[in-house]
Amino acid sequence: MDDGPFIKVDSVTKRYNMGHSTVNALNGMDLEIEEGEMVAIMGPSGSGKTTLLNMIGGLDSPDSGTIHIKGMEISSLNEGQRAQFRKNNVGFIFQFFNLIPSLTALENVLVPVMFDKDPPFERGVQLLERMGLKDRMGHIPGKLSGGERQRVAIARALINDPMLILADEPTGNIDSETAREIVSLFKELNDEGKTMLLATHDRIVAGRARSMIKVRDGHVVKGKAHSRSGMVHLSDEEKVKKKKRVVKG
Amino acid sequence: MEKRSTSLRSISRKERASANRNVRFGPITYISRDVWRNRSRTIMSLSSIAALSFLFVLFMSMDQGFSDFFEDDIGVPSDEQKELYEVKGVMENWVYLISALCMALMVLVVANTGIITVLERKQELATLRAIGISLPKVATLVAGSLSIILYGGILIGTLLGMACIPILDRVNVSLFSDGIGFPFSFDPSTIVLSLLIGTGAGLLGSSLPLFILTQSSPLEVLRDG
Repeated sequence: MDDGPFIKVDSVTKRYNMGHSTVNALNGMDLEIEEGEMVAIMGPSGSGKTTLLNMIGGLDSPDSGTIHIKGMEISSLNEGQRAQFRKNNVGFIFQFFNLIPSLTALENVLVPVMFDKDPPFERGVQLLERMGLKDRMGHIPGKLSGGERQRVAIARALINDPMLILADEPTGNIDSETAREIVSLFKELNDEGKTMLLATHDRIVAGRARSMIKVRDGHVVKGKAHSRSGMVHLSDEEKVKKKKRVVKG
Repeated sequence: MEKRSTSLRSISRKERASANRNVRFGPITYISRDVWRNRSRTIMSLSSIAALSFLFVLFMSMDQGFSDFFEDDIGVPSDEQKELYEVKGVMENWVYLISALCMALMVLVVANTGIITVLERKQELATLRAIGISLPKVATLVAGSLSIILYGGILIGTLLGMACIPILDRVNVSLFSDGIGFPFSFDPSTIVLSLLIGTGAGLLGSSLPLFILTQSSPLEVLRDG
């Protein structure tokens, strides 16, 4: 059994070529997140929040460094293996919902499992009922409000019962009242044991997460976080300071 | 026992939701919804392929008609028949040329439809990949949509051609002043040939859009979204 952290990001770097210039999206980032946490990742635009989420979710691979999820190194997986990993272990929630416009709410929830031999159809229905969309199952996204669309997207993220949920600006495109409802839903899911990572600009959303990290220039600059187990996450800067103290001492 | 209406129009919203539970959802539903959503483009592409298939069947039947016509004239050819043989040769070359042109145009229609599909829906296809559907499966969905257009067009064009051949053969439009007309004769192998050529055109035409799909990154398009 693996006793290490649930998510371990170790010296991860990622550069993107933007025309003639190179952008360092992640600059040797280190991060550890325990299972069952709900972590808000905050930082200005271009700080590396989304890149970090994409790396952890297996959407992208690092230039150097490693990422382990529950002891499995995902940074070395090929595209096919990463797709399988995402399908079985990760639920993605996007800012713009990314629902398929021609499919009904229920069909959208079932999209990740449409190629399965025996798709969990009843689970899709139950998830939408749980999201309060019992009467909206047959509606296409165009007939749903922003909050309803995001709840369909959350149901879709949960269809495979993933251990990890990654939400990139999940409240960025909905009103504040609906945002509060969505965050309450996230807390409920977290209470059920799902590990959740939310990249957000919204301080209210971040404030309701159990822990928060701040990212700037591809580094973790502040790790305020306290998990339920009492573990304190140290940022890169804090680690350096601690090392210096040890050396001096 | 209470009698329940099976018509979806007459049942309440609540009942409709529960009726939804009995609907199965899989790649075929996804593809059919996609084809229906882009119906104006589907109709345009499908009718182009149908027209090309129709022309192909027509020219192949003309070729078959010529062969049948000359098969009947056994014996030492007269000067007039020799002249006809020459005409036959020229006509056959035209038939092959036009058939090849039909196939080339079919490749272009499939490629064009496929490229538009992949580029227009890049965010949707990227989302599918992001939520864990593998690239080959996403490619299957794109190929499925293209197949409906391709084989639908071939089917309509071939059936139309088959329906028109007896009429054309009866009318037998006179080309020459001496009353020699175009003979048309439908050979069932034309259907197989039409399907084979359509499949070849489909494979060739879909290779470029599928290549574009493999080159696109789900990450890039999600970032654009």
